[in-house]
Amino acid sequence: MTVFNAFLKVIRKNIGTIIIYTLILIIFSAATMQSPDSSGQYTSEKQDILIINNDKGSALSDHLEEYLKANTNAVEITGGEDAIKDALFYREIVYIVNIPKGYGSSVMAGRTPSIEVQTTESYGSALVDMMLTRYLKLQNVYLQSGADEHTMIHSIDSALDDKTNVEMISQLDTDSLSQATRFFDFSAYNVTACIVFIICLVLSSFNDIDVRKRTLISSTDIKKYHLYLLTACCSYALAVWAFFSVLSYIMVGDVILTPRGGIYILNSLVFSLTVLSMAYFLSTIIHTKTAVTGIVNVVALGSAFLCGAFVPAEFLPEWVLKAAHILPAYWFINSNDLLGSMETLSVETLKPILVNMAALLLFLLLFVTASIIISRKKQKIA
Amino acid sequence: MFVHNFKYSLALLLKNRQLVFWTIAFPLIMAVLFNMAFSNIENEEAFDAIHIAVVDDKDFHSSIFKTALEELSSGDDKIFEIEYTDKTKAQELLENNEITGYLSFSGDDVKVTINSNGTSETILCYIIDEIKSDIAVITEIGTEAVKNEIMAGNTDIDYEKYYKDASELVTNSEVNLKDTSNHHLSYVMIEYYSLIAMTCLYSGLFSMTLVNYKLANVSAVGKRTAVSPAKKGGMLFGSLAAGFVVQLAGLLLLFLLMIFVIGADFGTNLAMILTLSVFGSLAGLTMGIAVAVLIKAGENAKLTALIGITMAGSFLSGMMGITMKNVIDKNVPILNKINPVAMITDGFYALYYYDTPERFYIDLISLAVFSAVMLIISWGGLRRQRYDSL
Amino acid sequence: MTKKIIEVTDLTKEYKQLKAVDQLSFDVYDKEILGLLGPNGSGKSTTINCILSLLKYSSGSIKIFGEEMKPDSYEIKRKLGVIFQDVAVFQELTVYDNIDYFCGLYISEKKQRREYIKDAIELTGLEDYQKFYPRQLSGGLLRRLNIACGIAHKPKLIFLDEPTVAVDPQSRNNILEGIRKLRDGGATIVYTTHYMEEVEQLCDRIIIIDKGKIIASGTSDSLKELAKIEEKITVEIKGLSDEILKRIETFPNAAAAEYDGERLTVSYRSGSANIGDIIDFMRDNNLRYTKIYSERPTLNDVFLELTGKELRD
Repeated sequence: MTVFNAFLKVIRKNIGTIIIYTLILIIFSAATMQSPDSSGQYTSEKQDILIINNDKGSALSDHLEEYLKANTNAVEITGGEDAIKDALFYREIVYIVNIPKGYGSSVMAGRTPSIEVQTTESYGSALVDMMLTRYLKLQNVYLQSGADEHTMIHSIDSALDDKTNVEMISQLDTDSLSQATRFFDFSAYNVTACIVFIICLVLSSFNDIDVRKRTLISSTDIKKYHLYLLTACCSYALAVWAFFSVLSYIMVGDVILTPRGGIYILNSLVFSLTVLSMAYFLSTIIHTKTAVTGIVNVVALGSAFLCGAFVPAEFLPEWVLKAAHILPAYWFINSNDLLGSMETLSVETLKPILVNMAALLLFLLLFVTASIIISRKKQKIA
Repeated sequence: MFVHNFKYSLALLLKNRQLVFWTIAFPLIMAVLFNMAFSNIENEEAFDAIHIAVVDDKDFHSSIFKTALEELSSGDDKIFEIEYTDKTKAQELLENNEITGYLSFSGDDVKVTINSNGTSETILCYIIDEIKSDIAVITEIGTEAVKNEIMAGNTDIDYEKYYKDASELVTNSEVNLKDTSNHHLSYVMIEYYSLIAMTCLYSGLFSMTLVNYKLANVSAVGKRTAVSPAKKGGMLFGSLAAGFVVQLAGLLLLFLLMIFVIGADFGTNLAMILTLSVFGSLAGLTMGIAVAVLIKAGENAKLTALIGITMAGSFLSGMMGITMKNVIDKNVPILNKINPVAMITDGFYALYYYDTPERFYIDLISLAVFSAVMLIISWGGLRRQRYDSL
Repeated sequence: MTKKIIEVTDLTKEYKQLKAVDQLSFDVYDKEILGLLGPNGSGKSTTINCILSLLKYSSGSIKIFGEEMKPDSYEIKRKLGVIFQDVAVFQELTVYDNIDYFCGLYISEKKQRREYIKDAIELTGLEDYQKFYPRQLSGGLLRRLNIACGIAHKPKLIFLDEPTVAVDPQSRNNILEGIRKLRDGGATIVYTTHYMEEVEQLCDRIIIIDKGKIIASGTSDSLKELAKIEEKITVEIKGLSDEILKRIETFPNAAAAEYDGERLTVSYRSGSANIGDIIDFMRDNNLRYTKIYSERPTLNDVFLELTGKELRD
């Protein structure tokens, strides 16, 4: 019981830190929900752009403006140069098109005057770029084929009108699935931080040489003592897992209650236990409490950055992902990503997820073995 | 006295492992992590080829798409990785998420089948759209040209030539877009600016540690120095100079790492950045002094207070998401006017993005004023030699 | 009459409600070891901190070496050495560097400093630990380092504020020995403690403070006289009745008699044959005792007599 009490005491003392990690997760998932764009998922939503037409009255320039307005969400910005810069800087718009004065007549005279653009280098802006390029290319072609202004506009319109036939076969609720995926991906950071931080703090007090000696000479059965300690650690890890699972339901919704959601949760359970074993291992090599904060930050932030908890794995460089294989979070996040886009759940499709879980369990085994070897060696020295 | 204190303060700071970790090692680690995580996100060349399948039947072989697709799926910067297969297999590949989508042809028309909306799917549809309209345009122009020839009474018409001309016209059509956007706007650079700002403010940890050692009402060592004949001003000056030197060395390491290892582009304004960092460090240093002197609490509580203030400042100035700075600037501008982290990041934005030197200098002056205010409010506590209680 | 090194006149230090030091006046003479004795919270450390100009005081005057002591009396401070109750050393510096740092606040000439540091290390017996960091030292060694840091610059006047709290006997002896050596080297020493034996062993003169006031001062012997107790007789005996105790209290010369169930203690103001009287009384009343002995009173008894409370906490 004393072991449990000590645990509770350490948790109570560091409740602030735990709350902060939880808040970070909530804020992040709330933010992802509001703008699916920032999660890297691109839907056919129209992009917010600013069109500055300095060549009003020219049929050609006006038509370009119309085209852009029809295919994007043109935003009005009041407040001059600075406001425009701010808007682009803070991503209120992703693209600025500046049609210069005399553009239309210059084009008709056979020159290719430049159009000034500013981008945010995001996917959204790349898309607007493609749109604009395509339009100008057509304009060019028709111009060179000798069409007049009127025919040109007409031809461009009809060419652009020709849309490809697209069929979507997926029945998945991609929005909530991608949300669930982002939630669980991000939770890799919070789970790691919460578990490693508390477990290392608690175990470092129990491993303190004086406390250890006191326990060794006390009447407590040493095997029972270790069992208690292990139970307490596991209970804590399970509590963290349960807490984040409930949170996932609150933040993401009903999708968590489907079989797929169950696999997300199961995956997160396996990961939590692996992190627990990692924390146990770390506590055998960390000797001071002051070192705990530093190492927790490096381990949690490091694996979160490298495995795709913060930045989706699809955007990470190949070599980073390869290197990330040595971190448990990689396998956890990989499973989440697979779950997010998997069409059907079957033994066949779930195979890679089972492989990932096996990898996590392998990590668990590795950490436990390493901890046992190290603590055996220590006991001999002591 | 200056040299003596300078020398030993250097040793005190460098031997304090926790301090060195948070002020020097942690920013370096964060810089490396940022780089690893973000290096691809804005790098268009690193774009991976999209895996698609094409239903390989008669209609495809007679389609004009064939050459276009072959072109797009060859070479080093190919856009597509194509698997030619039959319809059932393509469907299966799609369902198992092995491809982004597949193309099937009937007559001259093409159909794209995808799972759902996504980045790769959007790009796929877009490119197919473009190929399709290009083909239409080529046909239209070619036909027009042929028609004109016929109308002109020419009978010996080289149809191939006209279509080839039209095709060349389309592929070689140059588009004149002038990208005047500022590349320092990238999210990665913003993260780096925040990181530099945070590192500047962390110099408060140095000054706080050193000042604690000089205050008789805070530490036993402070009492011992207080009863010595050494003048407090000289001692403090030596210590803080050491703190400043260690801080600048740490910053220099960070800059060297970012410029030479990570390859961050700070452009031509290096002198200005360094000036900004020096002023920022000064603000951090003086804030550390103020916290050490004004907050009546244990060393750990002071440490928490200082880190808390720094993190809160970083948050408000947009370290965890640039939108925060926009929200604060628009709604509670005063908050970021007195927030030293915001002054530093704003200075960077002024320098790199807004291209407004006035705003940069205002930020520099703000930092100087902030430092002066910090010094003034802690002056009494620093100079005090006799206390009401110990 | 020897020279006065410190003159404290009517020193009063008030906290919000509490008078920590109340109209305190005393002098410290050249080359003496003065013991400031008192229980915890009696005002010893406050007095020292006032003398050192670390604390503001409400009224009174303090002169050191004949001059008024102020926070900027750098010439006076140069000749002071202080060892505080708390260990005041840098964890990040080695034993040698710690001493060098603090010595360097007094002496900037490097060669001289090196010699002084060597002397301090020798005096405190830290020769083998020069490269150690404070966290590697035992409690006793840490105290010795604390002392070395305070006296390396060879001060003329040394304040030691409870330097032996929580120190093992070996280190304690080493420390007391060192203090004697410092005095023999020509320094004046003010020593505060609540350990009676140390004061008896070490101090030339003792001032007893309680509740911020001096309640007695003088040499160890003169203080004992003051308490008007000459002899203390202890009888180890079981089952003594109250009636017998009352009879013992009426003995001629007896000041007080106490019985705790195992030990009977009788204090005498004067007299010579007291122990004989007790033995006779025991035999006459057929009381069987295991041991009987007579002692000179200790300072602890003096203190008890003067303040009515035990000195040790």
